[in-house]
Amino acid sequence: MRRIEEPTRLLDPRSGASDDVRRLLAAGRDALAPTEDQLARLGAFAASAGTGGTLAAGKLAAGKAAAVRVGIHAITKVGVVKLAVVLAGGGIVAGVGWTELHRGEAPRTVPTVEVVPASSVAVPVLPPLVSPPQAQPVPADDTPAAGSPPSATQPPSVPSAHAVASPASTPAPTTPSPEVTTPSVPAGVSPVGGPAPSQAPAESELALLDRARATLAVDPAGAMRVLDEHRARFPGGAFAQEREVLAIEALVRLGRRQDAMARADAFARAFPGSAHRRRIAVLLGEDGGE
Amino acid sequence: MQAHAGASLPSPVRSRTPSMNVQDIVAEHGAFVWRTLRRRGIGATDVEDVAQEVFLVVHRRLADYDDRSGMRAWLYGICARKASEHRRKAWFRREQPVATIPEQSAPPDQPEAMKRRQAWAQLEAILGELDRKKRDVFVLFELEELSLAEVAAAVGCPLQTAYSRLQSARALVQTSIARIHAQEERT
Repeated sequence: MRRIEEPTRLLDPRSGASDDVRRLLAAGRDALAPTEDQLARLGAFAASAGTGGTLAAGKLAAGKAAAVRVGIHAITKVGVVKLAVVLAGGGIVAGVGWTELHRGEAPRTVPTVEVVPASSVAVPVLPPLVSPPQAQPVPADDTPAAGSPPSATQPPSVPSAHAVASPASTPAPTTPSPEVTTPSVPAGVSPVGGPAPSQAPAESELALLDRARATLAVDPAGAMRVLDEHRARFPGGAFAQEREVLAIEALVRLGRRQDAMARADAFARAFPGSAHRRRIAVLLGEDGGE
Repeated sequence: MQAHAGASLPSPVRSRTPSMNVQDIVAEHGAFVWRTLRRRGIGATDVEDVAQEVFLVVHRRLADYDDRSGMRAWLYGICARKASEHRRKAWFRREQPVATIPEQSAPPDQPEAMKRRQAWAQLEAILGELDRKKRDVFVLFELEELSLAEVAAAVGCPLQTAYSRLQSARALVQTSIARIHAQEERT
């Protein structure tokens, strides 16, 4: 009985692989990586998923393709509906989404599409349960190839030192630690009140955003206060773009269209290449309507 | 050898760290999930959404995660399901009139990025000559740097089998690369 030694990776110079091989593999390894921005958004999404399903949905709304994919894009001014799509699991969530849609600003019909009810198509696909990969019988075509070690009749073990190899190419989204400063009122926004009283003293940047997102649909004014606080405390935070998108949505819901547009202009100047700009255009009804 | 039984396992088997949350998993493995989805055919414009769906599943299923085979093996299984689910839905998406051009999620072209993409395209062509099982093992081990045991867990085969697939994939890949290189030298 022999243990299977962990092979040396071809990318490792000690593997003896040719430079051609190593160069190609190295390039291939890095080619499909997400940008830091994309990773940060995924992190923000995960953060919201961690605090409740509705938040997760809200974040999805900020994403773009989902809406186009299910066809609701055309009728939704308010992101909540899109959320319903992905959270498909819960009829309750979906119901809430629709309710909130209609409670919000009147939906604007867009000429291009009239749409299949999104829920009928996109929702049901999630399998109820995603289980880890199952042990499977060895397929017949997998007899050990020439050059493999002599048959190991028992499950071989691998030196544990290799078990935690982590890809060097996994950047972590940057999440600045919360800094506590006195909230100040940003220019161009007329706050309706001070920071929410229930706020914990050192609420993190993401927690603040999550709170705003959670209340956006039912209490845009309250969400706006939270977002103002976020802007005061984290003016250049890792999720400044997400905050601005939420703020624009809140302003739209409050009927403060001029403010929303001013803020969108500022956003466009500050983040000219942002993936959120399309979302903002949707919020402002600038994506092919009016 | 892995004894995953998904949600039906009794709770004492669980050994995950209590502090683990989805955000940490994204921080540590988000890029892995991303690349895995891309390699399984999810386009640049869709990958962010599919990745979000993956992490929604992670969020829902985290309590059932059993870390004996490793987080990446578990994530890989979820990615594989989500990717094939997404492909199944693709026919429907094509039916949708899209009023605006889908947003670019790829970064602006830069020479360096372009070169990497070309190299990946070349490598992908080479990997495309492998059968799926060998390719999966090769990518997970050589590019994603999973341990061989993690690879075996991810693709659901015994370690010995993973080893065999890796060896034959390596031989084929190195042959292909040598062939391409020789062609380039001639031209």
